[in-house]
Amino acid sequence: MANMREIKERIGSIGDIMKITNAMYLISSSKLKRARAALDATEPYFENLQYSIHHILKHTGDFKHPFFDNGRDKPEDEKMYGYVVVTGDKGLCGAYNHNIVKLAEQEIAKHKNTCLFVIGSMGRAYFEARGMNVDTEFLYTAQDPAMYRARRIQETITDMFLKKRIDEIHVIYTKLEKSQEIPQLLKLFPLEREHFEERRVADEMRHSTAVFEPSPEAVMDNLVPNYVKGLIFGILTEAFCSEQNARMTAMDSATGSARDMIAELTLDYNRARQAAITQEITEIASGARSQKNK
Amino acid sequence: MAKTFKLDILACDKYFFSGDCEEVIFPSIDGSRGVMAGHEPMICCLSAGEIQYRCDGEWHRAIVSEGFLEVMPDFVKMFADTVERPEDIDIKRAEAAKARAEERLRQQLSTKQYYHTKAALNRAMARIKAAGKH
Repeated sequence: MANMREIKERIGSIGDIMKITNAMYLISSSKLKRARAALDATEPYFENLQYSIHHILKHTGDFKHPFFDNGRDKPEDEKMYGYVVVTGDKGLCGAYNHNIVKLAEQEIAKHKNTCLFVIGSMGRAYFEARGMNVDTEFLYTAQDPAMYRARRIQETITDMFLKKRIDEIHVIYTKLEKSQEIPQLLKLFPLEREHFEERRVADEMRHSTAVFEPSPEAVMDNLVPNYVKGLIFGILTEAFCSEQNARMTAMDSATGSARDMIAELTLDYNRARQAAITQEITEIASGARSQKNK
Repeated sequence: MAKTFKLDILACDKYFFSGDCEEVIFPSIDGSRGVMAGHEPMICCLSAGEIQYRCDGEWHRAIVSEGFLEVMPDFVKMFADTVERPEDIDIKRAEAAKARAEERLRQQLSTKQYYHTKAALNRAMARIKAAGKH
């Protein structure tokens, strides 16, 4: 019977897909375990780094440096906004890529001149297809974050900022909070001076002004790129971990729904089979009866 | 017992050290520097090389790459890309890295590549030097 065969084929194909989703679940869960360990190892560095930079800025005397160049005295129309968007290299990870792209689009819509530095091929393909200003030489993968890659990324964007090709740089990435992926926006350049301003209010809190050895400029020239590099490394690790987590949850629920579908279809199949048998028996019985009556 | 301060050494992939320390010596961009308890607040850059720190009168050594330090009278925080114990260094790998960097330096390089290679060479040299002493 055609209906029975159809249902059987359907069950077979769902079973095949379930095998794939299940394999992907296993792969991403083992990757997640590794990414989690890397994240745990970086977390103290990442957190202390941010804390220390705020502390340092708090204890800093007033001086000018290109990294703090906030105003640039340009009208909003001429300002160039740069966004580093961290997406995944692959799909099939639930709303992970979608969420990050959505946040990026929201941010981009706020400004007139924007340019994008996309990490991960999913986001790159998306923005390029929409004809946005994507830096085509900025090709980095989101897989297995490494320090040297963070260094290259930092060099590219610091260079762009110092050459005044970009006036403000933000990073859009995904943060993992209690197994929940949350898209985040973080400002990289120019460095915020807010924390520095706070000092004036709470003057008694400040015990002393730190000295910079050998000179504030020399220290800032080295410290800021280093800080940004550490920050980017932390961001990459966090994003990679989120991606694996998203894929794991997505694949787990896909496997679950495949199982539900198979259960439902098996029921249908059995019903169809029963119906077919019943019908056959009825046919035979009525045939026999008509023979007897002859 | 000498006066101590809290020393934290953080590498990007691990919390290398945290504890009370009497003295720390590190390579900064303008030469070697030492810090003891009660030092004036200072922000300083770390260059690739060897650091030494003394806890309970005993000297410890570690190899660091680029980073920076935050020095306050009662604590010191050191941030570096990598921190390794001398015994953990793979000298063969460091020598291979050094040879590779030297070979690259002989070629025509762009300014950026030149700085990358120079930095790589520096790291390799610091590792070899420290491991040799061990």
